[in-house]
Amino acid sequence: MKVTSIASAADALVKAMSKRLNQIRLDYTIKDRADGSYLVIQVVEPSEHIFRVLRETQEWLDESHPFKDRATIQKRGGTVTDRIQLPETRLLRTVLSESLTVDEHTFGDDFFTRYIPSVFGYEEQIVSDSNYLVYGRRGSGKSSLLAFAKHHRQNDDRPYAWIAMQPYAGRGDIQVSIDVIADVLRQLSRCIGHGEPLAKLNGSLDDMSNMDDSDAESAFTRLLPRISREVANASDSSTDTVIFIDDIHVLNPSFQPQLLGHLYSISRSNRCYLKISGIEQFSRPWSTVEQIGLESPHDAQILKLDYNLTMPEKSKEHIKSILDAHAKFCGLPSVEYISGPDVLSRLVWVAAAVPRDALHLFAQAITRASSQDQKKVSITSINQAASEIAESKLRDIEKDHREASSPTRDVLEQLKEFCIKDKRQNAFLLEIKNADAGFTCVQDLIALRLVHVLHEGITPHEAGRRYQALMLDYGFYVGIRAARSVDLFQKSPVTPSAKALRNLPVFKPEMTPV
Amino acid sequence: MSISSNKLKEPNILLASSNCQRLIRNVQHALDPAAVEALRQEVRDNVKQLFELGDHHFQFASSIPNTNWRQRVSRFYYAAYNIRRALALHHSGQFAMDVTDHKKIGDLPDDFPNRNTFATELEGLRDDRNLADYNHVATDSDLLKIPADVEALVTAFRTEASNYLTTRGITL
Repeated sequence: MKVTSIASAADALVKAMSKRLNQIRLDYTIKDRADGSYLVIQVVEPSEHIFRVLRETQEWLDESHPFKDRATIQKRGGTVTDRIQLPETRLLRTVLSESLTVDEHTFGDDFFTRYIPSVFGYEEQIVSDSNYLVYGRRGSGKSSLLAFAKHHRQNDDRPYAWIAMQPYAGRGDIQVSIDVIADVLRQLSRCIGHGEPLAKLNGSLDDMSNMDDSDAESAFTRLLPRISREVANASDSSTDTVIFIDDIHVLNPSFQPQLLGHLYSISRSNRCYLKISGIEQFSRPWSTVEQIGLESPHDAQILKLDYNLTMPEKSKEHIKSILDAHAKFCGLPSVEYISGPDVLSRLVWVAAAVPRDALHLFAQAITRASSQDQKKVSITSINQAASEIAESKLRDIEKDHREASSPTRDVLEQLKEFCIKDKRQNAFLLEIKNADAGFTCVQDLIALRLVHVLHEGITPHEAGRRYQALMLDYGFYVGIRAARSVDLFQKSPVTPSAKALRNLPVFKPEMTPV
Repeated sequence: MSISSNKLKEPNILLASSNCQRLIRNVQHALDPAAVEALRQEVRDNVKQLFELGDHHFQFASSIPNTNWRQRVSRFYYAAYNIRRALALHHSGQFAMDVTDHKKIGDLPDDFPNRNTFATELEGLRDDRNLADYNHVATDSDLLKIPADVEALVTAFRTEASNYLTTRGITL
């Protein structure tokens, strides 16, 4: 074959591979051997993923293609200085962006090779035979933990139903329960194979969708015992069953205990377990007045994924593990290969140890570093990404905090003034007063990842008065330049000393009378 | 004689069918459990012996200096080839002694760790072995892997294969 056609054949193969690599074309050379040409694709650290892409691409090549069976992947030779411009780094950026939204399908068949256990090691608990409420802020790993349990069941061929609550966002009507339970029955009947009784019940539930709400509620309440019996039969005929409810907090808070009560009524004592995720501050699993829902710890145990900054060393290791797993997937030896000194420590603080924020920030920082011709990701590029991401977090106030966002915004403005202009410190104390409106607003800011918990409760001054140690999000005071006017609380992610926490200034939110 | 060295002597479970695992699946209903277990043990013994054959080549290859690249690459290839035969016999009951079996060097069980990596690397090793054994104009610069890296590859493959077989009831 002519040299030009060999070169174009090599280019065609690498181009075909790029379709499975988010349009990234890998570097390659053609090795001229005594037995003919061999295509050698070059990456820093060849990974199973890239080998798989090569083989899957070769399967589609014509038998006469010169590289049908004559291509391999090898480590790059020599020293690479401009690491940000490597195709592997560009691939990592796209893979990080893809991984920001986790659902039951995330990572597909690669789930267990790419999943990184939670900081708190909740994996053993979430797969056990109990009801769980998994609490965490956006991006803390709630859906990933649920997906871990789901993949376990899938591998063992055990029945489950997965319901994402986003389509029901803001709703509080009985049709939500009817629709959710209909979906649960549909999914369970698919899993257990002989789903005729469940399908019959589904028909009855479908009929309710045309009724007005009060008639539908009566009919639904009457049907619940039969549904419960069939769920019990489904569990008996196979193994136990699990219902996953992802993001319960997006429902109208007043309806959350209703839905959970309905789910509990069909699952209780039926070897059917509930695994629910939500943002704690916006979740209302139990109604004390109506005595309905899931009451912790009797009906469901709570697993909290927040408070990662209370264990900063572990959090740094966790975030590094997640980034390393993605880096290796893309053909890099580790995330540190493309990071300057102290970048990961800054990343942990800037992301407040929230895994998804760390991934988002790092992906943005790669873009920044690339556009500024940096050779590696730097602290400056992390800072720049942080200020951009603060804007998107502010938009979350509208998404997650549908009710009365203005007092929360007012408290945020007070807090920015307090930390950035008055005290010039990014960390502060807040007295724990559960009934206080200002305290509640700050808790909402925690849920929105604009404020972060350094310590859940200390008693720095007098007995009986407890304080949370908190930190204002880095996005408000870092940008192109580091915030020289603001004293950053601990530059390295290590557990803060009691003395350092005691000396923080006390913030007292002022609420405007209505 | 060279022809007989390429055959097995009867009786041998591997000569009873083109696929001994399929044979066992299809006769077990007619046999008592002890007889089925005896057949399974026969297969396991053959898996072990194939692995040991690979291991024998491996030990010898390791002793060859890197400068003797043709022999080193060739023997490491045969180490990997026979270990793969052990895997194939255990996993799917496939066993062959003809020359076309070498084309299957990359056929590894679906659940084998880093299957695509090993498959591609072993196929590359086969191409290197063909250069080493048959190509009189080839030099060591033609190889995809330098002899030291070949040793690292086959060592890793042997370790994974050993773990794979051991966790599935083969005593090596």
